[in-house]
Amino acid sequence: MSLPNSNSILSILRGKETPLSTTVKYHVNMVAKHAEESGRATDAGVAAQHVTAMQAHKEAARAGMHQEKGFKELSNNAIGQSDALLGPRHMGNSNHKSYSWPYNDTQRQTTDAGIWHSGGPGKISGASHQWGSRYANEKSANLAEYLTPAAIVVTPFLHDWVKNHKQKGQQSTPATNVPSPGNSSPGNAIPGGSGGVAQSTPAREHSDIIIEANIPHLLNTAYQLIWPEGPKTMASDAADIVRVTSDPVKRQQVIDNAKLIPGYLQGRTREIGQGIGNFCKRCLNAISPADSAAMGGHCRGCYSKNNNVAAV
Amino acid sequence: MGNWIPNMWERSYDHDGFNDRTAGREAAKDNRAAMVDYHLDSIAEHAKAAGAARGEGDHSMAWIHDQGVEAHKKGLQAQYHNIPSKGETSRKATEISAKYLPGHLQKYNELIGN
Repeated sequence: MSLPNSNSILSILRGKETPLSTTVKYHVNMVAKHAEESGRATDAGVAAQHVTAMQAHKEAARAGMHQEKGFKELSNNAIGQSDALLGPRHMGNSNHKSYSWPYNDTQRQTTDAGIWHSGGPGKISGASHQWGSRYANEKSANLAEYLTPAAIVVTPFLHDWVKNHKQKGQQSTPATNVPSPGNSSPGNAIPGGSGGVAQSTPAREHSDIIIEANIPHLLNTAYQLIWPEGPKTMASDAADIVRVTSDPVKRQQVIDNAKLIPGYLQGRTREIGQGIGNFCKRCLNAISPADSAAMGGHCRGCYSKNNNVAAV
Repeated sequence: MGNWIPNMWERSYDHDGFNDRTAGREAAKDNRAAMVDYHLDSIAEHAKAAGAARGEGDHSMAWIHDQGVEAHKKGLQAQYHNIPSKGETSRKATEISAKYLPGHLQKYNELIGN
C-alpha cells in the first residue's frame, strides 16, 4: 500500500510545515506596526503610505504562511516599503529575529492559573514564569520577596483600588496604607490591610477595580497581588477592569510614588535606585543595553528609541 | 502499513475512511487558511484602532486594542500550527474583537460554519 501525500506527512513529522518562521513573524508584526502608524497618523498621505506598507507585509505574511511561490519577492518588497517609511534601520531589516511575538514556537507556557506567558523577549527577569510555575500558590508575603522592581510600579495603583472603594463607602482605610510584607492571608494582601476591604468579599468580584499598569505582562503581577489565589483566566477580565496609562509624566509619578512607599520597598532598595537595569521611560519595559542594541536602539515594548531608556 | 500514521495526522481530520479523510484534509487546510487570514486581518484592524486611540490620547482603549492584536497573534499562530486548542484560542481573540470591533463575531461564526 502506498500512501498519497506521504511527503506532506513526512514534512509534518519533521516539523517543516508547522513552525511559523521568523520571517513570517516579522511580517505579521510589521502588519501591526504599520497598521498602528496608519491609525495614528494625522496626515492622510502618511496614513495611506502606512496602509500600503501594511498590505505589502500582509501579503508577504500570507505568502510565507501558505508557502506560496513569490514569497521572497513579496517579502523584499514589504521590507523596502518599511525602509522607506521607517528608515533603513527599521527593526525588521536590521534584526528581525529579535522581533517580539506572543510566545516562542517551542515555549508555549501556561501558569497554574491558566495565564499565558510570553516566554519571549520583553519579560522582566523571568518573573512571569516564577509567578506561574513556582509561586502561584504562595501567599503575598512570600510573593513580595520575588517582586521585580517594575512590579512595584504597579502597587501605587492598588491605592486607587482602595480609593475607589472608599468613595463607594465600602471601607474607610486611608489610601496611604500599604500592604505589609508580613501579612500572608489573601485578604490582608490587599492595600488597606486588616482594616480595609471587607475580607469576606472576594476581591475579584469588584469589577470596578482599576489597575494602571504600563506593560501588559505586569498585569499578571498585579493580579497576583490582588488575588493571591489567582483568577482562573486573566485575559477575559482584564479588558474590563484594567486601565493603562501611557502618559510619561504620570508614569514618572508612579515610579516616584513607588519609591516613596517605605514599607513596600523595604528590602528592595538594592533594586530600586541602584542600577538593577534599564527601563524604557515611555512604557517601562525592562530593557538591557544589549537588548536595546539588538533592537537597533529601540525598545521592544513601544519601539521608542533608546534615548528614552532610564536606569533605575 | 497499519496505523503508523501519528495522532498529529489523525486528530486534524475526519475518520470516515482514507479517501474521505483526504478530502477532509483539503477542507481543513482551506479552513485553516481562511482562519489565518481572518487573524491577520484582525491584527491589522486592532493595531490600526490602537494607533488611532493613541493619537487621540485614549491610552486605555489603545491598550485594549493592543490586547486584541496579541490575542489574534496567538490565534494566528495556533491556527497555523494546528494545535489542538486552536479553536479556543481563536474564539478568545474573537471575544475581544467582538466587544470593540463590530462585525467580528459574525465574521468568525461564518468561518466556523455557525
